[in-house]
Amino acid sequence: MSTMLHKEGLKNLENNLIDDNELELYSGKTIHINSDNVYDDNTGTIDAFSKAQLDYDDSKSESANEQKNVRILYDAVKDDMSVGKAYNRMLWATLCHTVCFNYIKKRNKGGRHTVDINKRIKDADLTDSKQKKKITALITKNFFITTASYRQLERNHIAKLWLVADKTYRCWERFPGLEKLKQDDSYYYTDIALYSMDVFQAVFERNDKIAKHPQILNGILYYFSLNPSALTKKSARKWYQTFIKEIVCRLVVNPVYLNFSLDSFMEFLEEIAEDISI
Amino acid sequence: MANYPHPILGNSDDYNSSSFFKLIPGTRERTDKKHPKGEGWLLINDLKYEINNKSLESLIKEKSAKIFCEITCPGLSSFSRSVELIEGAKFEVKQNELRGKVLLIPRIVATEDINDVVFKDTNSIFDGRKFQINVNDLLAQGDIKSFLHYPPFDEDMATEKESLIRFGPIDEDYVSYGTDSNGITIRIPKKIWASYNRNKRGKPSYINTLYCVPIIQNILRDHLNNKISQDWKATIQKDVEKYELTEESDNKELFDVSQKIIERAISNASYINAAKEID
Repeated sequence: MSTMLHKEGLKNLENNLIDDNELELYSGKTIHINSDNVYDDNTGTIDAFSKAQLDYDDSKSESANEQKNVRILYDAVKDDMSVGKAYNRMLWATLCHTVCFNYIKKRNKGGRHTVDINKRIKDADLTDSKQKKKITALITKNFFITTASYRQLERNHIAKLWLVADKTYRCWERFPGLEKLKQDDSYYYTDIALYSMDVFQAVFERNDKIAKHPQILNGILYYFSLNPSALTKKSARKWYQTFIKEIVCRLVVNPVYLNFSLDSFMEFLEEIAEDISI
Repeated sequence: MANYPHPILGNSDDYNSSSFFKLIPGTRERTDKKHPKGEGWLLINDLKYEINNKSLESLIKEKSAKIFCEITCPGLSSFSRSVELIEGAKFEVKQNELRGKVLLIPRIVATEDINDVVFKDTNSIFDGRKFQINVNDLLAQGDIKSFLHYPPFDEDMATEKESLIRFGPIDEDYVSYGTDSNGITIRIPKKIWASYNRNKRGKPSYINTLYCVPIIQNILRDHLNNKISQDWKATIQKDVEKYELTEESDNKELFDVSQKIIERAISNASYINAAKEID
């Protein structure tokens, strides 16, 4: 049986960050959590995450890495996870300090992130308050979820993988009205959502109105699959950002998700696509 | 609410009279394994509405518009489902999908393109004006109802260190309890310890009802008789004040209050966090 941080334990771990020696421990290969800070997790959740052997390959893109790791993670945890559990800060802090400790570090070196956490901590002069503040923020950002919010889940490298799969995995079986979206690959739409970090941000992060409605989210990903140029053409980024912004605006007065039908939603998207002059 | 591209009627906006469209949320029910879909479902039964606007009523009658209730969880910003408000409408969701404040938003949307609609009983600026409505356009929104929901299985992910009540096995054949500076320890006979653990995971409310209710009843009595001296009595005192218990309170009153405390613990895990209150 695995252990998990309890509330007091999480608080202790966060409070420890004022101590220079504790900060330096984050540059090591593992980090020790005092047994007083944890309790036995008899729900099997931590055990399930422990089975997911995530790895980050520097030679591949962030997207390729996340498309690979999301399958490993979600296959291992899908039966033991729920939204209720996801909003537990102790869960993610435990994972980031134990089974996912090294993945978090490697992930931070991927793509635009050139941060070698170990090096930054080792090179920092922690007696200098500004440098110490930066290191503390770096550790907080990567190894903790500061508030139990959707935005924080999107930003944590482990929680994000669970979140994106939970919204897209076999969506045709899990959400009404999406039966036509059936594909051989259970993660077909997950891969599209992780096509690039910017696509992920566009559909998940910049506005929560999209991901909140699984039919809208997967309907848009389906539209992208039918119109791949939307993601690949020249100026694609500007195009799909405008496209999604327009969808969000129209949902206010035209809440297509209430009486959802895939066909009429596709028409709704076509209409918007025609109206965009980029 | 924006009047774009037509008025969207609300009880406090664009409509002249009061409360023209309202949701009657029905009863809420939590289920465990007795529900055919398995354990941990939240049901909202018998969702109804009242409407008092001729234009909208006739659009609904002609099936040009439908009424929906959107159920959303703003705290999560990741949950939204809708159910059509027809007779006997009910909503089912896995309890773990929701957490915190849940909003029920009644809305009326067009189900087809409608030409030249004239809304009645609206602000004078709309008098006699004809509007072109598109399919899925929002026509009206009623007052939002809300309730708090915390999944009962939250305690699976909480820590026993934070709870006033802890459990442990004993050799004897009967259930007993004791108190110390950390709270209350309920001792379960070893011969049923395995069964207790199974129920703790699958049916925590069963454990609460079976073991915690009678013991909290005793603790309340002990507290009223000044027999509890530990720091955590402050937590008990809060409930004594809240439920206006006195030394004169009889066993039935104590039993009722202990049930309410456990009910609250199931719904928002308050007793799970009780230890924190005395920090």
